[in-house]
Amino acid sequence: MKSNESNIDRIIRAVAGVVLLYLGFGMLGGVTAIIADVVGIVLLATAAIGFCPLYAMFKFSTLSK
Amino acid sequence: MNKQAFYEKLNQSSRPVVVDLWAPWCGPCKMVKPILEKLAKEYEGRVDLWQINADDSQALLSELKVYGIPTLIVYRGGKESIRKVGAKSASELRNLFESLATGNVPASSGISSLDRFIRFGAGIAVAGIGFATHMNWFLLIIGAALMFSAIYDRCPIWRALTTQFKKLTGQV
Repeated sequence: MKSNESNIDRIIRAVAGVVLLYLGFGMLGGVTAIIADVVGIVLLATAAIGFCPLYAMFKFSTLSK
Repeated sequence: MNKQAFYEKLNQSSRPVVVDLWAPWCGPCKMVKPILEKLAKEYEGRVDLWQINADDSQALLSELKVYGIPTLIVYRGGKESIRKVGAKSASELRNLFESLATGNVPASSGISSLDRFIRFGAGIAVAGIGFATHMNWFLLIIGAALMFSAIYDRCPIWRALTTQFKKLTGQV
C-alpha cells in the first residue's frame, strides 16, 4: 500500500474529518448525521494512513513527483 | 564528518545509504552497532552503511535535524527516504536492508513527525468531541486509537506483542 496523499492533502482530510465528526455527533441529526460521521471517519482514516483507495482506483495521486 | 564532505559523498553514491548516527557513550547505539555491521557485510555492494560519530559531527547533526541518537537515516538517490529514531530490533533492521537491497521499500517505512502530528492532533480533536458530546464512547475510542497510531512504534508492550505474534505465525 503506497502512499498517494500529499502532506497538505492529509492535513485537510484530518481537519475535515474532525469537523464532520463534530457536526455528525454534536449538531446534526438523522441521516445527515450518519453520513457526516461515516465520511468523517473515512477522511480521518485516510489522513492517518496517507493512502486513499479512491485515488488508487483512478490512479490519481496528490504526491508531487 | 563535515556537512560538505557528507553531501559530496552522498551525491557520489549510487547505492542506498544507511547513515547511523551514534556516540560512544550511547547504550542503545552499542546495541544496534553490531547488528548494523553484520547487515552491512551481508548486503555489501547493495546497501552502504555510514557510521557517523555524533560527538564529532555536531554541525552535521544540526543540519540533518537529528535531535536524538541512535538515529538511522536512509538516503536513496541522494534524498532522505526513511528516518528511524531509537534502537531498532534485528528483524526490523534486516527488513530495512532487505527492502533497500530489493528496492521494495514498504509504504510504512517508519512514522514521520508529520504523521505523528496528524494522527495525534486528529486523535485529540476526536476525543475532545467525544468528551464534549456527553462522553460519546465511540468517539473516545476512535480518538484513542488515532493517538495510539501516532506512537505505537515506541510502545514496548505493542512491540513485544507483535514480535510474539510474528514468531507464532513464523514471520521471524
